[in-house]
Amino acid sequence: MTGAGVRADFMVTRDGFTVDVSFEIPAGQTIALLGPNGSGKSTVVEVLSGLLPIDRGRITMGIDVVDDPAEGHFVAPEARNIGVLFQDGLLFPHLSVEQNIGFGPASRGSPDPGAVGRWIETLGLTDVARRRPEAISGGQAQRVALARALINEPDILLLDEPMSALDVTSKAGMRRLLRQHLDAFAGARLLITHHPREAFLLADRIHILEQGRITQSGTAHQIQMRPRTRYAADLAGVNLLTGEAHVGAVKIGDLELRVADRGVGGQVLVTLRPQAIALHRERPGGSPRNVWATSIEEMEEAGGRVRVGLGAPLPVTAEITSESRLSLGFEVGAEVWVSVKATEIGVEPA
Amino acid sequence: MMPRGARTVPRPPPFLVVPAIVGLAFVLLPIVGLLAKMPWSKLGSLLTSDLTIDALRLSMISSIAAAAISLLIGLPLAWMLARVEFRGRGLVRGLVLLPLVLPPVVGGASLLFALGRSGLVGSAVYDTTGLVLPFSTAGVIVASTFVAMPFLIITVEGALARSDTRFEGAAASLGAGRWTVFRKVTLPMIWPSLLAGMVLTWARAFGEFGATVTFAGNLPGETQTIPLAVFVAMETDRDTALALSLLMMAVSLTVLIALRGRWWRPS
Repeated sequence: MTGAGVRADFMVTRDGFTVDVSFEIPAGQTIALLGPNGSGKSTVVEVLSGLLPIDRGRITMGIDVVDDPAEGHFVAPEARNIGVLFQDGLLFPHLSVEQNIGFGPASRGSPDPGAVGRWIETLGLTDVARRRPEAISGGQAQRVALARALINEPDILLLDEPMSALDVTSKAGMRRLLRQHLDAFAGARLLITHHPREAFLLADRIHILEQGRITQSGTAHQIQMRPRTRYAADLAGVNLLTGEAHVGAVKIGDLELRVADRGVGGQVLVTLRPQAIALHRERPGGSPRNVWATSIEEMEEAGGRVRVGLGAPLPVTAEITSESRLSLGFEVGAEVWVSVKATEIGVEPA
Repeated sequence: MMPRGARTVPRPPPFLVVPAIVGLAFVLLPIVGLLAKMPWSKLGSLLTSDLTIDALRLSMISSIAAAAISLLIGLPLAWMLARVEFRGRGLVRGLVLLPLVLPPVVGGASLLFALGRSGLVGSAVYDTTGLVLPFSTAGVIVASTFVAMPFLIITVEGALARSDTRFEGAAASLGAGRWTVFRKVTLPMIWPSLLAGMVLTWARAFGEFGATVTFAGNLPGETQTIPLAVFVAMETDRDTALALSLLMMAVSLTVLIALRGRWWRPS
């Protein structure tokens, strides 16, 4: 498998909606395109996979130009070495699991029955190998789709909302599986998603896509500290942590937080909105909250709101108003007390 | 409050039930009439006569050929109509379906003016190759295809328009070329509709009369299919007409029953 990077700089209009973006995916990295529904994410997938030719710009994969209307260059989808994990899997309904996985090798004239068998075994699909997609679970279907995309040993991997159709438990399993396969994948990886959680967990770098344009690029931390749009602040800015849960409490590093959800145990993902984290000069008392002391490490002010980066024991981002910053006299390096209500902490299986 | 205990199952209303029964009787009565008059004792000899065997052979050849030709040229046409946006697509769609509403006799006459020995295209064909379509078995096939192909087109176009093209995109991303995608994804996904369209097309061709008699004439052993033979026999030999009608009914019913699991499902 040879890893290749992707450079995309293009404009395309379809049904009156224009997508105009420029981004790069270095080989061996996962880039997330994070945006709300209707932001143009699927159009990017279609463009990269060659199903939709661009109107202007250029797309390069490795050293090959695959689409450049000015030069009259266009490489057909079947000739691009891309693996796509489609939204809802998109398994062929008339073929068995085995035949779905073997579709790529057969189409490329390299039917290697051994490879199909190895993938079926690796992904634990032996029991359902002869079943049709309608007779397997959503989680199994996404595993089949992953095997089908990877068996051709593509240079580039596109993941289009790979977990949107899964329930919470299958999501956790799929996320682990993706992590494992993404780490082993040498080429460029593009994750398309509207879940900040997935983007933060799987991507090295995030581009936020809104109305066909990239409104912000950066690491999860950079976006949390300096969200440039309302969408980025509300959704992309959420704090994401992993911890160990047991009956009403979650242990994250050295800190134990009380949570409202008592039904979850084991490895969990913890989400915490910056707006839900309250900061105080003195230790707040008397209420059933999670309280701890820390110091302010960073501060970014924009539009009457201040993003506050907190230090150990729980490196999270809080958001307060400019007024409270002034009235409480917060500066970088100041010692503060943090409080979070148990009901404000989201917990789900990792 | 609902009355206790008595759960009222809604009954179908009489104003629908009565006409429905009349409708069913209307469909079944002619068949019963046919069977009542059937000369059962002579049936064996009537069905093995040269006339019957020739007509059945011609009917089978022409109807199967019409269905096959419709598949070869009608399926691609349906695909174009469903998947390619071009100027005048609506007009083309209307024109393609014209034979559905055109009286078959007019269809046959039009074919004669176009493909006849002195016709628009037919004269050029005759001058260069010496081939004459009208009044030949090939002419029967042409006439049957003309009237029957719209059934295939209309069924398949609908199925193609309903099918999700993202599957074809997925196949292309896996390295499948256009032909492989068509053969291994597009066709299997519309297979039930394609089969239904083929059966309808075949059935229409099997019963074809008007266009055939006008374009290909009524030559026993050459162009006389079962419907034509029935028409002639109604004037001369009622018993043969009855036996041939029974034969057609049996063939049609056999096909319907054989394929019931495939397309007799309520949609």
